[in-house]
Amino acid sequence: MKHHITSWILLAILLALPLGADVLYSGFYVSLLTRVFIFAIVVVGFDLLAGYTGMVSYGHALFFGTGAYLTGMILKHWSPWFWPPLLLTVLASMVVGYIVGFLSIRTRHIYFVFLTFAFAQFFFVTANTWEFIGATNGLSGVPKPMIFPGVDLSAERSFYYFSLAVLIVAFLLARYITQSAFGKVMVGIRENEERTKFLGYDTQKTIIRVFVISGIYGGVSGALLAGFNSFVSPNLYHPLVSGEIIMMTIMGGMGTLVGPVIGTGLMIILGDVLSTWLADSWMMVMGAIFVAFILFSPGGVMALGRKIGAKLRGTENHGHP
Amino acid sequence: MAILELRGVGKSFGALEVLSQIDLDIEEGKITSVIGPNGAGKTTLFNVISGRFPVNTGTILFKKKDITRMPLHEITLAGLARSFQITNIYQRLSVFENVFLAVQTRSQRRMSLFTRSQDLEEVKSRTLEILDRIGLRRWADVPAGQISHGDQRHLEIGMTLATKPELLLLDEPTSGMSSAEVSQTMDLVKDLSRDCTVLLIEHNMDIVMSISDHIAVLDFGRKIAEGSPEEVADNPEVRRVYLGGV
Repeated sequence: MKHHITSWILLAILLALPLGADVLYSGFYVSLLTRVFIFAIVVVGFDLLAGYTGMVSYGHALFFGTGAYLTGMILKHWSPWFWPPLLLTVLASMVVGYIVGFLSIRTRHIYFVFLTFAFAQFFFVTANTWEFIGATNGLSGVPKPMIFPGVDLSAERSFYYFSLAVLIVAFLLARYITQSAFGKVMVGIRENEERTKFLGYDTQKTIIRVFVISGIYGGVSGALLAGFNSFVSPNLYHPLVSGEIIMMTIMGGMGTLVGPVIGTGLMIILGDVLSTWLADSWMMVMGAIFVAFILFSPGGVMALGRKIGAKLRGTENHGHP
Repeated sequence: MAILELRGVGKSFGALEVLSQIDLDIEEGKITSVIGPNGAGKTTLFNVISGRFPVNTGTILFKKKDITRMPLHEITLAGLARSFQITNIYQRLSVFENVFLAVQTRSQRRMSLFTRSQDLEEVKSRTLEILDRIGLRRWADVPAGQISHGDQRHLEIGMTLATKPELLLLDEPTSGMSSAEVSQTMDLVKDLSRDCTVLLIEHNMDIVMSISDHIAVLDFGRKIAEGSPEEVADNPEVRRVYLGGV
């Protein structure tokens, strides 16, 4: 109950926030939060794969970039509407997710990490060389998409609300998946894949499905980013982006869904604040914060919050029945 | 009638031949034990039967169906389940969740994205039934890695049982147990054998001789004898390689 009240209060704050923009504070913050919402979608999808199923991909940027390019191209050349490219992005993410997943999941651990990395690199190099999509210059002049007749996303506020709505739907869907019968099998694979096989579950097929679902999240996130930035850069495929997705997830708390959303917010907002204050050295500080999390709270913000909460209540669990 | 038939089964790891030309019939409804010295190939035999390792030669028939090349999850669904020599459970999940996931494998909605696991009422009630049967209901909410070794072994048997097997492969279910736990486990195995055929690997000869209907003896990857407990105990080669003074 308390949990629900917190969620509703948070939602009310997020809904009210743009109303004070340009009056109480700069409209830039609305734009910054929109960015958080967009990135949080790919990160939530990644958490399904890495946090719940235990398969850490280092190539998730490939879905992000593919969604962005596909949507950018369609918005620029063929349709002012957001829905056709979004639908195509979902379909393309499913196809790419299936192919990359099918080939990658034959391996595990570091081999899986490097294979997914290699696939993303393939897309990165292709995007940098393919003139049709702008090569190294990227794809510029992507118009703001229409979502309903007479309603487009050119205003900062409308993009903010639209991204927030998509994030909420994506988050609730992900939560539903983790609570489903299928979700329990995902956790079984993460905890002990061999045992899960011996219980009669086709773990390969399950991981492919999660890979595809996770890829859809990445694609949708990229589709939104194309419209939001009005520009698609080949750097969306860069390993740094895949790395950031992992960092956001870990910093928030893998396998918690809420944590990765918080981690996304933390990294994007903190990155912005630090870069304003510290100019070029901000990434060093960001790196130090990340290292501190790994060393002292590998469960991320969520674990830290639980620890502090338990300390305050004086009921720290030492892990024995 | 034989529920499991092995014909000329062989398994090598590189130049090392671990199983050689094994022929074995496991009779339905009976408890069959596989015995032999360390390194005789007993666990490898379980591994090839359950699909963990592919065989190099021979065929394995389960209920007259060839399962030699079948993926191991399909073998489980066909009705053949196993426990492990080294406890193989979900250490960080609760005892309830361990059994729940095992029971869920027999649900029609086992892989459903659209069914919340908490709505699988039949899975929940069967999970509780199994927890009662293996005597672990009181630990239901405790992470499985935190219960005693003996209870973990029982949990593993419970998980195996939850998949509704017709043939249950138990690999040293009493290893590392106290004598009280051994006696409990044997009662449990006898109880299980009312519902399914049991194939057992066990080092404790008192248990093997008292519980088994049939015994097969392996030595250096070869089957050197089989028969009733009395026949095996009287077999001179078995006495020489394994039983010693029994």
